[in-house]
Amino acid sequence: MKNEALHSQFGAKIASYLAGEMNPGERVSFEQEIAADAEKGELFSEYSKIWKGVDQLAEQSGYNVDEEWGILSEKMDFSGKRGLPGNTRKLRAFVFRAAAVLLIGIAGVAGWVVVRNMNAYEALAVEEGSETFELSDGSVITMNAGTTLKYDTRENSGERRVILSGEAFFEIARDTARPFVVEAGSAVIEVLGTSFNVNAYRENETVEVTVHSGLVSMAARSKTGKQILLNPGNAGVLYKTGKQLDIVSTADPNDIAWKTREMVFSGTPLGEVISVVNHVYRSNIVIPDPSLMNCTITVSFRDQELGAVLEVITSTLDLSLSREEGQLILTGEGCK
Amino acid sequence: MEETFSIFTLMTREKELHTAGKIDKTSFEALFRKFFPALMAFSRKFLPDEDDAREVVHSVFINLWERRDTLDTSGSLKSYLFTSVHNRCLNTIRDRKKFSDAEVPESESDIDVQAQLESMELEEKIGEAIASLPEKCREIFEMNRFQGLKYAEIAEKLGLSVKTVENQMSKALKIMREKLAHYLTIVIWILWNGLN
Repeated sequence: MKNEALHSQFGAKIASYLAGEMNPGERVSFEQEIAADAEKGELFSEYSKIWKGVDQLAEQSGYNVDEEWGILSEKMDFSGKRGLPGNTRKLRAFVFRAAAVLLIGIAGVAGWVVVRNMNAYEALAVEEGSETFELSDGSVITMNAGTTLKYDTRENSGERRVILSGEAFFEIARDTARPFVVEAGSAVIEVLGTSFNVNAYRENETVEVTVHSGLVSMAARSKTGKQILLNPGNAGVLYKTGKQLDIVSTADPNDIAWKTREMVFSGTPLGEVISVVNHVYRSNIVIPDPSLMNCTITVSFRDQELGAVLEVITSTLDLSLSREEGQLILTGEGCK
Repeated sequence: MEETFSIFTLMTREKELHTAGKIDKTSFEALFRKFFPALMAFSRKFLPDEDDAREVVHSVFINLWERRDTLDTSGSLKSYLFTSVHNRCLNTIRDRKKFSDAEVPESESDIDVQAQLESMELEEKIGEAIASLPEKCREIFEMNRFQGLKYAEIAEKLGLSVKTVENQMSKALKIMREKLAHYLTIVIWILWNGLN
């Protein structure tokens, strides 16, 4: 099967046939064509094999592995002690109900309010900590502190649309008939079933989307911009000024640390470490001495209290910690 | 540039998942995340109901975790997982037959585990081939195959002609066939020799 000319003439036909783009008449004559010509028949069978593999992949990509892992973990006993029941909040709104997912209360208790509007949208707001909500379609949304989410209460609308301000992690149940659409600042993000994080605090220069599973489409809301497709491990960054839309290939390993409280640092400069810690714990740690910023640290944390995290950092780099007017100040000799 | 291919990569790749042969919570979670979608797809070939299929896959993982200290991990974990799912699915079907007169389709019960492992390798390779497509080509191909958009819908979304979409789809398949040709031959060769 080395005939390249045959391919270029016939390849598009095979693709159209397999993609279901042919009308019945075209299908019949295509089938006659491959039955009559052994070489075309062989090319068709190779393509069909690949096509079948792609379809199986597509079928598998419909599972939300994060969610599935959560379902299994709930059934399992990993260490003898099970996860805390948590202060799970039941929210009986039309579309949302609170998830039976461990609540991550950080600085005090997470707070939420429901505001009923006159139109079809309702709003959720999380002021402190983070809170997890489950939609009636099975999708789970974890909202970080200072985040509001407006959602459409009309269940029979053709899409599932939410408007986000702040940061949230979305684990979206697959529904090919109703795409899930997130409007975040100047970005619009569209998916069928996947998990991804959106960081769109109003004060940020950018809207950042990182994908954990599935496929996510992202575009600027101004319809002039291009649309990008993001795979797991990819991040899409939309700059507010200039409306530039970029794909960044190396996603931040700590992008959903605010949700999981799992942080991984590998030769990471202290300045960056503290910025992650501040994001995760909503803390206000400052380093007045710029020479300390480039000290590097390699460590990982799993669901530790802020005190324990700071204990490790200060003892590793021989730093001291003081408290002043709501700020935590790190000082030290610098790195050898 | 010709990609060199060793049949041994088929066997060694999953070893990364359980270094030192010990299963701890981290490697267990990694195993689950890596194999869950394929195991679900496999399980549903026997048990079309999604909840039934999930129940089987979960029970296999729970069993793996409970037996982690006594399990011989020198063999292939992947093969262990698929074989366990296969056996448990057949048990479920058998038990159902016992308790109901309902006819359970027989045809699917002889699905070969080995063939499933091979097809998973192929899917992995296909995934890599898709990732390596030129950006525009990949975008169009994924919109069609993963998002289920018709040519005309893709053309409208991207501001292209249907003809261009058609050409890009053909190009995607052509590139994938070139990347996979060598691999397809080897898999067929293994299957063939395995049967004789």
